Amino acid sequence: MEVEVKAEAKEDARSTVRAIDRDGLERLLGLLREEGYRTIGPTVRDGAIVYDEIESVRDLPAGWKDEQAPGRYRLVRRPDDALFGHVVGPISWKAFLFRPRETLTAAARGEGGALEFRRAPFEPERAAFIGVRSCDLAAIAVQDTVFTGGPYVEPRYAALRRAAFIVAVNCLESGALCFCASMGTGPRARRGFDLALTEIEGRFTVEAGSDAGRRLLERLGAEEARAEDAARVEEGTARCAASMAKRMDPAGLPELLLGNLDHPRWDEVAARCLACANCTMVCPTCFCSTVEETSDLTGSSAGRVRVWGSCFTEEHGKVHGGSYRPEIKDRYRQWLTHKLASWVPQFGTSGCVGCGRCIAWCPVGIDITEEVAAIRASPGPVPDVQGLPLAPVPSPLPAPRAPAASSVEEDLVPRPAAVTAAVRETPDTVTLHVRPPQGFSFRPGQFNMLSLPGVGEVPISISGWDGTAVEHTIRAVGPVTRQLAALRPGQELGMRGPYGSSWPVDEAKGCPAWVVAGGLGLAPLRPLVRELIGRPEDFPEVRLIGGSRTPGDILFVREILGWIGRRNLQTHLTVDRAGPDWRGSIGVVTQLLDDASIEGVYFVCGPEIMMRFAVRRILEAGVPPQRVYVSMERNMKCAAGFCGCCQYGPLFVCKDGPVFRYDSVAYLFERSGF
Amino acid sequence: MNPNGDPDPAAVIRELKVFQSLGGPQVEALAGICREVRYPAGSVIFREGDAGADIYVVLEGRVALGVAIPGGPDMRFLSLGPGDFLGWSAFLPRKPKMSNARATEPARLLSIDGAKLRSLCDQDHDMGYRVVLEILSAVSSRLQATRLQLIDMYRAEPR
Ligand code: SF4
Ligand code: FES
Repeated sequence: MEVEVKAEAKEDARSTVRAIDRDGLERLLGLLREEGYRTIGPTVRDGAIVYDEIESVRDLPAGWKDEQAPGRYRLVRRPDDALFGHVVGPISWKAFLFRPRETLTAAARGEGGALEFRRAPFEPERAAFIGVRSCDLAAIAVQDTVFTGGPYVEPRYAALRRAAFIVAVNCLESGALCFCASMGTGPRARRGFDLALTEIEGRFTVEAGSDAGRRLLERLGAEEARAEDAARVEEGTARCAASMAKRMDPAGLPELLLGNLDHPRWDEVAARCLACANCTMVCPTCFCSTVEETSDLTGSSAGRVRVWGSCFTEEHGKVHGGSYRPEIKDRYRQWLTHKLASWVPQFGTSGCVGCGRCIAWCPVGIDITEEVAAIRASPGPVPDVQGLPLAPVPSPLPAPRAPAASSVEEDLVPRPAAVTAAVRETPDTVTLHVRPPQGFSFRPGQFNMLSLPGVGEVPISISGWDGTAVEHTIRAVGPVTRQLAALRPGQELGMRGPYGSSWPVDEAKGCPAWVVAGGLGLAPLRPLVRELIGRPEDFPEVRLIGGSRTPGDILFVREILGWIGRRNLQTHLTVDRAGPDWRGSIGVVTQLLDDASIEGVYFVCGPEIMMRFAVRRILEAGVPPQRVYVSMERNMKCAAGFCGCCQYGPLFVCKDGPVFRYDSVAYLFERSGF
Repeated sequence: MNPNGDPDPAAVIRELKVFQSLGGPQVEALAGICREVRYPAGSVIFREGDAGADIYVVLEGRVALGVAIPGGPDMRFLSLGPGDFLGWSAFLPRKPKMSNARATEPARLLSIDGAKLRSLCDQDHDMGYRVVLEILSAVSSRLQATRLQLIDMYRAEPR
């Protein structure tokens, strides 16, 4: 079944409003189950209204209302016995589409010990969602964009989404924390549903929003609604919107928040925030995830399981050697700026739909609308958001896309690849030559995801191509890289990729090309150097500036020695410290940039701190920031824009990077906590 | 040591970026207190604790600075090349050398008598200001670099 969206459904003659009573609703549930749908709807459990399987109208929370306030949620009796007289609870529909736990791939040793990877078997359940509020329809549309609107399609989400039937419910009463009206997402359901109900004094009006909905309505044989009832849908939702006390002004939020990254309010909110991650769990659009490795006891099969993650956890921003967002302030700011600001350039819409869940379920009652209002009330003196890739806030929300089956889904499944050679570069660094799957090609600067079943998966930049195998230079620092670095020729690993942006080699045509590498940063630059020096007519003047900790840490020594005498290459290496045997330069790499050419194009990669100082020197020399490229590193779990871990401001390092033109990251580059 | 009578130290000084700001008579005065010296590769120019009478400017070659680590070889943390000051602490009274300097490539240096330079600068504060500005700029960029080395940025480098 396709979820098909017709913006003009209202004008459609076939979508006349029908009316049913409770028995009609019961018949509707029955028909859905007859068509093979599991019916899921609101029901009372543990003092909250949650979404769970419902077998009959009797399972709906008749006569209950959810009283909500910041940090507070409780069920109370209503004077009537309305079935949908509540708003939204701790569970959102993402639990059924982007499920909290999902096995991604399974790996096994086949006959003769060869590695095999499979996409984990997946049977999408056909589910009918009963009682989806307008805000949650908007949230589903947002997640559709996240999981199916990019270069990759998340296959499990897409399959579940394709198999879902959506029965919306219009809100005639909002909750105390609802602010959908100001966000333009409710309370009237206008699109993105198959059927939409409005509960009026024990009866329901029903409208169809898709062909599937219309077909079901025909089968239901419901009578046409009375004109007054149809009119009450519009009046009632309009009255609900007008009476909504809470609001958030979405205008200009990306500029406001990204222009106020040092606002004192972040410190104030951080002092209250517990970093418990509740808000991200209850948020219907939050999509971050992480991955757990599982393996059976014999080690013959292993799986990768995706679980919900949160930018409030330390793990989210973590790479070996530390976390990019160590402070609670960094994490709260990440969450809020992502949701309300970065989301816009990323997905063309705000990440907030105004449902108010994060306010109710925050143990200390932090209110997103108040945080925004506080910053709006006293914006910093110079909001500098130059160079920000901001898109206008589209209004209304983009129509939910019907996610299509896509062959690129397979790109996310690792394929077995055999090591053909392992070359030790330094005591802790090895270059693995790996024969890639058929048809592999890459551009300098891109990376692959390399994995070992049961151990883990890591992004590793591509350091070259030897004619038959792709080279990966790996430093043994964590559990996964240690085991990768220990692989011997003939052994297999999992590979998927290549991913990410590449060094824009041709930007340097006819200009001095400066390649500035620090430590392992030379690895992703090596294929660039090879290309530059291989095309002397295009790149007559290449300069390689390389810094390492000690002479023993210099990578690719033999190859670099072989480059001596290349007419278009000058190499300057330096080390931070050395013993008596080293005759070369000693001192930090930035000192080799004192005579940076103003005409040059710069390709910089190394530890972030080294890049910061190197870029500063380059800019001090008068080089325009548009001629400087840097390669960033962040935590990466998916490489496809799904897991959210690799965010750097509004950018995804995995798909927008890792190579960025400096001016696009300049306003974040000198800051920490991103 | 390998002193070498250079015909015209003033011409050498005029070529140096660090003395670019000096006027003609100042260059002449400076020329009167310096000489050119050569060190073969591997030779010691000065050692930690030496009284350190001379300030140098590297004209050619490379010099490594290091600190003796008991029980091991010197730890070298900076190399200097053409145009760089070496042994600037000789400009300060009673300041011994703070590191070992050794030529790692055959080196030609301009050697300036530190005490005489100081008295020149005492007499001519304008010259003194210019010289101190150059020394300060060298010291400042070395301090910067030392901070970066202190961070040891490649050590726990992720990637
Ligand atoms: S936010 Fe709007 S659509 Fe969502 S539950 Fe509240 S009133 Fe209904
Ligand atoms: S979003 Fe998952 S690695 Fe970038």
